[in-house]
Amino acid sequence: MNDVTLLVALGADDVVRLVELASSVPEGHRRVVVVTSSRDWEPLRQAGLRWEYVLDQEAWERLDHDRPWVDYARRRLQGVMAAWSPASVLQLAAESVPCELAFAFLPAAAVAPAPPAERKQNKDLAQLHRRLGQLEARQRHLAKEHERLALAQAVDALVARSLPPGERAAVISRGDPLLASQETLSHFPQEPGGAWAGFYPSNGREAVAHIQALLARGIRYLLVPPPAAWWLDHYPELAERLRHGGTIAGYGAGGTLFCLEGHASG
Amino acid sequence: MIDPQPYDVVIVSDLRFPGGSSASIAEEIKAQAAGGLRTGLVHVDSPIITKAMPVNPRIQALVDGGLADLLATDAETIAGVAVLRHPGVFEKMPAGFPSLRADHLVLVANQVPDDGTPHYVYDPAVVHRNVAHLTGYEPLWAPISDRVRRSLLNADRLLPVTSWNWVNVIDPGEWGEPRTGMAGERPVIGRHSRPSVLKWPEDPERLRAAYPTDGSSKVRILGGGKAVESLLGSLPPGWDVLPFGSVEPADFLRTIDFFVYQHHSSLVEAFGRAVLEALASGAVAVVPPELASTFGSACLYAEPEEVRGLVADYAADANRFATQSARGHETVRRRFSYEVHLRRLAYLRGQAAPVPAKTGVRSPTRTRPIRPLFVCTNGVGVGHLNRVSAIARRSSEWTRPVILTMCTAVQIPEFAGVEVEWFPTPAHSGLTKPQWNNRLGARLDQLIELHDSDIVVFDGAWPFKGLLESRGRHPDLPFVWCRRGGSKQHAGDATPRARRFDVVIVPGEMAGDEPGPDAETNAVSVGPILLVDDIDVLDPVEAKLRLGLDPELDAVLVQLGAGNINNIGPLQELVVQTLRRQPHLQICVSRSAISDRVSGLDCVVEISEYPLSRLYSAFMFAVTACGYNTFHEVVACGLPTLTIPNTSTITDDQDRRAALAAKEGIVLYAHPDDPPEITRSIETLFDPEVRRSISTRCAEVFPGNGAADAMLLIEELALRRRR
Repeated sequence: MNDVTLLVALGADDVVRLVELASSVPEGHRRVVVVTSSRDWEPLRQAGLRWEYVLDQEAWERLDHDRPWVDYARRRLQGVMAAWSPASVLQLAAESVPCELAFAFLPAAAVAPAPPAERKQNKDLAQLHRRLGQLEARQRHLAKEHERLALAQAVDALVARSLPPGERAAVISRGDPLLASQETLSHFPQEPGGAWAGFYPSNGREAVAHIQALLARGIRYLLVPPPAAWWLDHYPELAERLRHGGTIAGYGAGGTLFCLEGHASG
Repeated sequence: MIDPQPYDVVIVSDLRFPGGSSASIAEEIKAQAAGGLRTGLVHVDSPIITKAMPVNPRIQALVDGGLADLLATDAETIAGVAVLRHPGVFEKMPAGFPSLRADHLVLVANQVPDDGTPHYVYDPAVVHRNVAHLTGYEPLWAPISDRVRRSLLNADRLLPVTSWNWVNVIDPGEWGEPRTGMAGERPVIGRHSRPSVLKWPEDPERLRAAYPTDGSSKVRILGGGKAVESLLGSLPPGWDVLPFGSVEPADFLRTIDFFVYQHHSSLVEAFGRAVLEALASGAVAVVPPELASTFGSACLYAEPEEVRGLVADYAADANRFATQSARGHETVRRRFSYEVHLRRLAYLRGQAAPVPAKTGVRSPTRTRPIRPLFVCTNGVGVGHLNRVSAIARRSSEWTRPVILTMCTAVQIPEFAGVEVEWFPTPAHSGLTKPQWNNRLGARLDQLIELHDSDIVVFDGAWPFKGLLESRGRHPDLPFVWCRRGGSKQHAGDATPRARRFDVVIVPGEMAGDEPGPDAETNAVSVGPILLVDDIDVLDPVEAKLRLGLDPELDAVLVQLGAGNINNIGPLQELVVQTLRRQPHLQICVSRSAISDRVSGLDCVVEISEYPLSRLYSAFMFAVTACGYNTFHEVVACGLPTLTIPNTSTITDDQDRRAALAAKEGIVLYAHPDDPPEITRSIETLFDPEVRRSISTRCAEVFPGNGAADAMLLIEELALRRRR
């Protein structure tokens, strides 16, 4: 019987990790074919793996086709299925890959009830699936943590670079203590004592009122980090206040630092 | 009623503009005449020019010379391609417009909708509607640069815009040659432009930074004296200022070393025709960084404050100056020449007819790119992938090549900017030969369908059964075999297989002139096909720094192949030992993109840069195997080389190539089984006179890179099928 396992990992760029996963496929399903949109093929070759390559969306768009990428990818995956007739398919979830691509695998053997001799192997595969799911969840968690730390570092760098000495700033923080960890930084919106207010302003006028409260406390700078950029669309009065009643004191990966009083000091 | 005589191209615009727009029309008329095309001109009064003016003298001279006919505005006009130029001309409905019938219609956008000036502003939606009304067709917009494209799509996302640029063209031969050095001791900085303050930095300090007033450089300007006066209060003493139009730009440009163009911060320069003219004249151009997307490595980029330092650096190094001058001139020849214009007209003629205009309906008009599918095998090295990448790299802007590779060295197509698809070799697939061929055939069928391929180009020693079967299933699709010569005698008669292809491209072989053991009737020879050109090669200091080498010390390259089919270890050891006798020499051993080997040798620098030939300037000489690519690359770069052929290859006759080349005096040759000769030859290469003689001989015999000719042929075959 065909013992090929397709490990479909579109959107996953970490080929070294794919090699590890492919190596952990149980005995009996050892003929792993990795389906990847990464062009980092050398690790796969050196691990003795086989692979199929599917152009990613960016590459497809550079080719200036009328046909949408999903269409190409679905046809391509169907071609892969026809070529290998795999006994099973493992699909790694990736946010960048539309779920409709899963339909490409509908004719797969994995969909049909397994004959008795294959049940043990399918059980192994089910365990592997669970393990992969756990790893994916862990990876997502770590990725978010990494983003959070990177943002905090960028905010610190921006403040160090652009906040004039002796000044204080508030940061739209969602209450994240990492973002407001410096003495010169506090949360926005904030309670009179400087703690996070615990809610978003209900409208733009309320957001502007929080700005006025900041100024009353001697805080003349507001930092809008990239994840909070939506505030400027959602609260037009706030955007108006910042654009016309303030100036940009600095910007970078940490976001945009506004001086709330028309001109930056220092 | 008799139809009027059709024109190949009809250009419709306001023919009175004093500057770049008319210059561009004039160049296109000349290009069309050179290509044997008949040109008609239609003048339309635009709202931009409000005072009475005659047709631009450059255009009038071409009409007088019989290169184009000036047509009456009310005449019935038939055109193969109608080129409407300058959208601003059509922003208001003109008083007169010809009854125009065109197989293809393109609206060249040579200005951004809003370029920061109060005069040149148009609304793309209004212009589109007007042109559709005037011509009866939905126009296809062709921007002259990426900046114009972005700006058009920002103004109107649904505008039918080409994915390629209608770049300005020029005949570089008319303007000058690459310079070998500066004219005098002191650099001459200069520029020419129409007289407008927007063409100059508005801040006097920045203006003085770019155009010195302290005598450190001589400054010559053609046009714009009054603008400078108004900005600085008076013309700086010592500047040589000529009125706009008083001297032919080509004559003026010959008198300057550095063309320095810095402009007003609010001006959005759509293209920079004056820059193109300066490059064609051989001057070294220093321009704002925003123009990098148009001119690439042809120019140096600087803000006004950085100009002086850059000019001083290049003025102090004659080689660097000459290299940059040659790079600019070659870029003009390759990307902005008349040939480019003729190719895009041919491409447009291969497109579907324009869509009749319907009130209120925006057409989905767009051009369909030419889509070649390259297929290459994985040989003992990366030669096949290198060659198809070299060809694909020379594709026109409207061509979208894809390479199906069986080689993992993706750095090469990445350098060429070409997308790849992957297919395993028989050995890597784990399939039997018949299974593999079946799968290859099915994969090719699918790729041809998915990529909507116009042509298939195969590069390999021997066409696979699966490829030929797919060919059989696509009888209308042109198939081309790119077949390097220099095969061993036992490689077999390829003629029957060659006949299955529409054309066989034979890349030039500098060592021996026969195409191989057999000659096909459908064969076309081109020059040696190489990935890298002169203009890609870095200057020696930059190359050494890139490789992590000390720029002060000499370096030698050892590149004996991938070592996948022969044991190169002992040979490499011998070469390195010999080189080590020379003190302070940096010995660099290259690691192939597809090799698992590491040299394991002490005191050598292991390098894995791709393409390495860009960095050959770092080396005093090289010791290499004699595969097609390496051999031709070292000769093209004039790098003195000892070739030690790999005699274990299956088809490539390296030994014969090396021996013949040695007879020509373009390399030294030693057989791998002759260590004394290897040692002697290496010692010979330390003699500067020997190296100079080899470099000179290489320059004499190298016939030029054939990659562009191969790509031109492929595009023509693809278009012929469409027509």
